[in-house]
Amino acid sequence: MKKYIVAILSVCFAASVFTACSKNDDNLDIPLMYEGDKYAKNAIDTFIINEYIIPYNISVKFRWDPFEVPTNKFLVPVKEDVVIPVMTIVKQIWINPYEQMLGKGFIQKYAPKQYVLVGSANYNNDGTIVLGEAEGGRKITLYQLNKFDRKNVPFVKQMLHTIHHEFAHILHQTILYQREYKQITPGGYTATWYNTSNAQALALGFITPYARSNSDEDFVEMISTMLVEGKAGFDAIVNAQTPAARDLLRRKEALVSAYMLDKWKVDIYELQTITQAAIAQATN
Amino acid sequence: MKNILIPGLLLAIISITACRKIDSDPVFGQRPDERLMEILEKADQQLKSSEFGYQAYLFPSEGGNGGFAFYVKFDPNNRVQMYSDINASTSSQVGSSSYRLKAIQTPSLFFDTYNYMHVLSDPDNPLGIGGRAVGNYGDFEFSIDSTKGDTIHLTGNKQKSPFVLVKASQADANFYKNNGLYRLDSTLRDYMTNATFLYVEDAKSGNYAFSLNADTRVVSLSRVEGGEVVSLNTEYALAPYGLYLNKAITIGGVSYRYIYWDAATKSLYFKNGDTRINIKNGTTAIIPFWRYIGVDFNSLVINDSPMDGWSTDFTTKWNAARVAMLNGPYTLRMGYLFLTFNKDVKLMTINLFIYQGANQFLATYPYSYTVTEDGVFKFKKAGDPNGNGGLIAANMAPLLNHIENDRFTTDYFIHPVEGVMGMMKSVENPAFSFSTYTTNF
Repeated sequence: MKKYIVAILSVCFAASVFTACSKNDDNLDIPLMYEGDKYAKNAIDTFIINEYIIPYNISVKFRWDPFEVPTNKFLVPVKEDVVIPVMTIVKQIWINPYEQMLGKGFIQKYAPKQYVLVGSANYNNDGTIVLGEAEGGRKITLYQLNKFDRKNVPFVKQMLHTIHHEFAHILHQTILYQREYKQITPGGYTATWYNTSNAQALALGFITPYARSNSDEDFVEMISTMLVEGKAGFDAIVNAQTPAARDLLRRKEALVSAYMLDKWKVDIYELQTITQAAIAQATN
Repeated sequence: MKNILIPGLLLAIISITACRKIDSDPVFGQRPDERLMEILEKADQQLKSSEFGYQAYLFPSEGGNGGFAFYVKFDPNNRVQMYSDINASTSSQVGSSSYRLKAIQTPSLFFDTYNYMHVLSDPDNPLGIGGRAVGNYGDFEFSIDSTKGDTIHLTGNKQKSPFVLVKASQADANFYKNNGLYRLDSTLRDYMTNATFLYVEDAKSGNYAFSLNADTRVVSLSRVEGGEVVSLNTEYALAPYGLYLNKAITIGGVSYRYIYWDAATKSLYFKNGDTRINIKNGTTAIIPFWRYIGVDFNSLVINDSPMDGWSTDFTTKWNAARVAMLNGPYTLRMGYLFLTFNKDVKLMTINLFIYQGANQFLATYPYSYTVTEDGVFKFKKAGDPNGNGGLIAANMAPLLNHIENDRFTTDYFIHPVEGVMGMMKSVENPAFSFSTYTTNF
């Protein structure tokens, strides 16, 4: 009797499991909730799809979206005619050198997944302006692009410095750099790094004022400066310093190149050469 | 037995009830995003439906300046064409960019790549409009508020600037395409330079003086009410017919949103039904000059060299002061002299700019004043001059003696080149009189 009831219940249960919750898979091709907007794609979209989305799964947002940028700032959208030149040069000077040395898979795996383009500068209350910023190794926002001019080398370098900087963060967040690096200039790190001039930072053994912020920033500022300025440019900066400062900067350089070689199998000096050639070609 | 039966029954109940499918048909017949997309689609169709585009008016919010006119034509594939009255080039060359409709908290129209409209929000001030880091407090993302007839009202999402789209006719479109905005702006500037005392008649409660500032894009109607100058001010934006006003102006109980330009008679007028209410050019002022002192004219400014309207006596004494300063121990060059009025505390300060080489200094002399109902001013010394003022007090004495001892009348003065200026004249010594510029600072 007991077994009988148990058996009946079991059968009921089993039946209910199989039948009651079966969903009929009618049309699943329905719009996502709150998709929000719809627009006709144009030649710029095609460029981005072909050059960024398909090969690298990187999206580039050039149409204004108020929720991608700081809401407490006065900002304007980018001009349509600078989008392709900007993203072409980013590809030439940032993606291509890495890809040439490490293959496509490397960029696909580690690169930030979204670019947001903004036309004006991002002004701070203290009168300084932000030219680029990154969030969590995932998104890079570039500002003041309406002033972009391919032949303006300092502008291009500044922009690429930001991108190389953020990408270097991703590298060290994936494989941490040597412990010793933090011990080279331990007393120089400060939250008020912005009160430091370029010359003061260099005299203390930091490649830029922002490098004083903390050892992570120090490390990535070294990488981005080495790549954007090239070996000759970097050496010129370092050699102009006092022997003590020069020694500190050279020790950092040695650790950076050892890190790149050991962990990522990249000869940073070769990467420097390739990046410099790319900058020269792109801004020509 | 019981042990099994109870959980067994529960299980059976759950089996029967738990998987009852909830009726998933939405109350409004469609899923929320479908309804949303439908509204956006409808709005887009509405925008594109105007064959000749729209007259558009944007009034930057508080902190920003003036009113701006645009011509906006929405094309297929999220393209938009624009003209604007920002400058000669934005008025004569078409600007093309993208736009899209996006559902955020309300259905919104985004001008989502850079065009003329963004100049008003640009913190880099590319055309010299607005302040550094803040722009001119314009907007380029708008919520669609309402549609009335051929007019769509929108509000900026960020700065809350009002933005109005009015369906354009073919003639309107031609006006914009033929650089009409810039030409109308120039026409109005000429009109204001040539006008003397513009006024609007209000038979019941007194005529209004009319003025138009083409730089700040503000029109004002002023008259004296209860001993005070009362002004109705509003920003305007240029339109094919003349001016579109940000806020309606009420004259004699009738409210007006538009001011029309008559190219034939070269004059402005309001329209009440079919009746024209002309803005006329008078020979006498509606508001006595002195009423404006300390109100619109915070300072009367005496030129840094003799000009029309200076009496011989004044010119002689001014020159004496100038030469004395130049030959004095500090070799000072005499610059503009500001008579700055503070109406609330009845204080008038003389601020004289003096220069030693390239260095600018300020000599100040404070006076209190009284003014009669006929506009006669009487000044009284109200403290010592500042250090610089003290050093040249002896040089300035021929001029300051009159200020301290005489009474003065004020009036308008029509300068052959500069247009309407001010004039001060001593009551006791009518030979002592001089013309002044007027400023609001």
